[in-house]
Amino acid sequence: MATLPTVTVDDPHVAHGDGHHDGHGHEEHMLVGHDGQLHPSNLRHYFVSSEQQFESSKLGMWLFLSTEILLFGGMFVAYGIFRVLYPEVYEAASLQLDTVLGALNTLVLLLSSLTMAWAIRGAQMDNRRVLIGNLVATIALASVFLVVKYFEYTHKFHEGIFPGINFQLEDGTERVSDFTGATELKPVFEVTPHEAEHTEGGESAAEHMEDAASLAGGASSVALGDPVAVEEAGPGVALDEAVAGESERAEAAAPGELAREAAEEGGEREINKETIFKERRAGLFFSIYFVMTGIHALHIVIGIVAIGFLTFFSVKGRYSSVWYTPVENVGLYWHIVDIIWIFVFPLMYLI
Amino acid sequence: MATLTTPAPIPVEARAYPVGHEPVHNYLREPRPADDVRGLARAWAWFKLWATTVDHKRIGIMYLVAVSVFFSVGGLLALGIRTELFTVNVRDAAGAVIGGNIMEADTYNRVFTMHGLVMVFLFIIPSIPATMGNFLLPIMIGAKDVAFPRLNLLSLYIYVGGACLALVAIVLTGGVDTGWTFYTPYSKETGTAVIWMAMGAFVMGFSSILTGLNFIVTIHKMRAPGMTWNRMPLFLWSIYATSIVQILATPVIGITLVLLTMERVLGIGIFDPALGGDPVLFQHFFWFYSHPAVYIMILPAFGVVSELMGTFSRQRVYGYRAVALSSVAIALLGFLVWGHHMFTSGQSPVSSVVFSMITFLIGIPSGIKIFNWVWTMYKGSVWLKTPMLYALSFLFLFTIGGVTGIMVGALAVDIHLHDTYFVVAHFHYVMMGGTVMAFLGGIHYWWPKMTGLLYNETLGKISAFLVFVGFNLTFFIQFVMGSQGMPRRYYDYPDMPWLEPLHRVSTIGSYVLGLGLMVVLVNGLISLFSKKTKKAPGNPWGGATLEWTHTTSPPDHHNFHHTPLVTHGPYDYEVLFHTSGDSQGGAPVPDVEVGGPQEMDQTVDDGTRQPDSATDY
Repeated sequence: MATLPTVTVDDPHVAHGDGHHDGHGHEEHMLVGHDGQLHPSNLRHYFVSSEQQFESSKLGMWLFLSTEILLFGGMFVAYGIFRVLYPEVYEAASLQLDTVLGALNTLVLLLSSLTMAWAIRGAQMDNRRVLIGNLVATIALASVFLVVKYFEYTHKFHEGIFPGINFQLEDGTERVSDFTGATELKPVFEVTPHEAEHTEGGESAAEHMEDAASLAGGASSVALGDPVAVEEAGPGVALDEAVAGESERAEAAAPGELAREAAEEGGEREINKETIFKERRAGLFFSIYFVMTGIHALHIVIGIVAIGFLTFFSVKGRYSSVWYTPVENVGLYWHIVDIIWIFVFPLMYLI
Repeated sequence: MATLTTPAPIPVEARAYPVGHEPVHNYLREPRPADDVRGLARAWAWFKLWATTVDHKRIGIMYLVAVSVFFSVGGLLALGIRTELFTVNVRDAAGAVIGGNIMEADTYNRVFTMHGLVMVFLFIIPSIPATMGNFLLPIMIGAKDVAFPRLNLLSLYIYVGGACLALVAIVLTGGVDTGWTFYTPYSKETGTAVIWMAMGAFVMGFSSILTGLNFIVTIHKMRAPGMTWNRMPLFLWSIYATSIVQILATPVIGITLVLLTMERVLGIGIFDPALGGDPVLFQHFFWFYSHPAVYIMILPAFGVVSELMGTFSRQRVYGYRAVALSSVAIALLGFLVWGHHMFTSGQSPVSSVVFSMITFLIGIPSGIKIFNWVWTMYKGSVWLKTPMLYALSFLFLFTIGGVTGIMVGALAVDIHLHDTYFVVAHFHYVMMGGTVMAFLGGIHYWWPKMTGLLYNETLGKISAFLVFVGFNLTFFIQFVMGSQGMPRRYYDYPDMPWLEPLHRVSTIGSYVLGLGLMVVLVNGLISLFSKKTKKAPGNPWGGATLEWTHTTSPPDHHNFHHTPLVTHGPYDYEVLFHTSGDSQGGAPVPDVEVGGPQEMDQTVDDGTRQPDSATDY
């Protein structure tokens, strides 16, 4: 047994230690594959060619990005719906946001997209200095974005602007809505006043109209169904008033309009930047603001971590013009995060 | 690079390989612990091998074990529901329940909710794609693995992590009582562990997305030479359509559950009318995912049934392109019908009408499939093995489920039937009668390929019979109950004592169904552990897709010795076996052993050849 033949081969099972016993490994260099041919070291054995592998990775990344768009799509839909319902609240509430800081952040993100693209170019050109420099610059810009965001958030918190229920209303503002529900539903089959008279008793009709009348703010106590007032005026009057309120309500085309009408008829204040803290629905705008920008910021953090890994491996010389798939894919991810902000910024800050 | 020392010199004449070219490892052999590792160490070594494998076949099998466990859990919960409804509760004069029930109303709420959640998120969504899809997809297109094997393993771990979160919900509060739909405002108010459960579903969504992503990339980029889109087995078309839905719909349930969680934690108010929000918006968000999700559940079943119909009718699947494209059509139309869950929730009449109309449209591609499968059998040589019995059950049950779906999709009828047992029966006919039948059929069909072992055909047929009878006993009667006004999610029906006999039939049926499923389990265990079990040949059914014609049972570690060159369609039985279904006159499968790489007549040298047998030199 003195002259045991020593064979040196690419054996991923051994080379990769205990983790990968099944041949799904890769090595650092050009390798002799088990077919006796040379393969690029980053070509995984289940791909036929480097092109196939690169294009697969890229297609996978694009599909992942489509899921990101749908994730944010849900929030954009929520934004759109409540904007249609309460346009005046949105307008006033968005005045609370700092347009200058928002614009600054937009600029910062756009710049970071540039440096990211530049980094990819650096990898393609085998220019490690450009690659690493731009990756670091991207991380720095992303951090600037987060710092600005931090100041924006703390400023909001300082002013008592929190999402939803925690939105600090001015003293004396009722917390419970002046409506029984946010969106009044139009009945599927419209009941004409004439039919209503026949089908519903005066009392129940008045009761039914209570919320409608209260919506109209300045409606008489008779229509509100105040028992004393109803008794004085007689059920017929109460019914007439209530029905009048109903037909008014039916004319209101959308809940949002209804809300506006209610506000106007009640002779209530106009909503603007100063009076926003009297407007309880403003909390909804800031809910969407915090959720959207918060989840976006989370994506920035994930991006920073990913680019951090890229930088680490770039310093180790992992990427070259032969193989830079991770740089390319993280770049794609970074651009989508940027693009989402491009939509968030005008929707939240500008309009 | 590794330096190895060969253990002992081999005599020159016995060498299969030129000197210097000996493989250090047999790439075709499944990795296993070294022979001298014994006892606990061996068990641990096995565990490590499976827990760290990125082999799509092993991942598929691990998924199969996991979904089987959760299917059993969900099934037991279902038996609990049916047992509670066996009798009307007995009440004393004051109205307090004194007998006739096995659980309180609160418990019942949790049980039916957990039944729904476990069945939907833990069983049925990963059932066919993650088990058979993982195992078969790369083989069927002639690839060595999926495009992202490590991502594939990650999706399994994420799935298990999501299941653990759901488990926390059960341990903390005995489960959630909102119904699987998590409707606000109740899901905001209830004291049960909604957050844990919602986060569990959220995490499992990632698993679903990663699986779908992997499959789409694999199908697009890794097909073997000659494997054109129109030569892909129909199973792959349906998996492809499913993956599209998984990718496009799942993120929306993700953000919905995140918003629900924030609603509970931070009170953001988006779904809270008191703050200006809208609970119906939650329903829109929820169903924007969850309606397409029912196509995530049923589309893979269509694929399985297409394979079964072709193979067991010994005939080309009729209307290949129509069946393939109807899967894609269903996937796309499925995104436009979510509003039909909300006819009574107060959406505008116009949108209800539109949603109802698009719902009817889905009947067209579904009908195309049904008719094509029937035509596939027409004049074919139908071979009634267990998988075919399940496929026929599917055809029968899914048609009932589909037609009743059109009924509840009609506006006026739905006002009457909404939230009754009619709806319960409808979706069980589609989900259980459709997906589960196809799942069972597929498991029987590919069992020899997955395990390399045959199962007991008699037990298989008994199980198919019991499942079919039990299922119909359980659920057909629920159409009747529903149309008579039995509401779903009620734990008692004191005002409708005349329904008691019907409930009893349904409950007894559920026991028969449970027994049938037990037989399936026992059959599988016998096949795995009995010494008498026969080894499966490479192609026991005479299938014509690559997993039957080009691999052994079970397939080699890297599936193929050489990348196959595909020269015929997936159902060209005439080409492969020089026979057609009609000419056999009812004779069983031709006695052809096609499996085994040595049988391959055509290969393409694309640089992936492996010197693994002596015949290569």
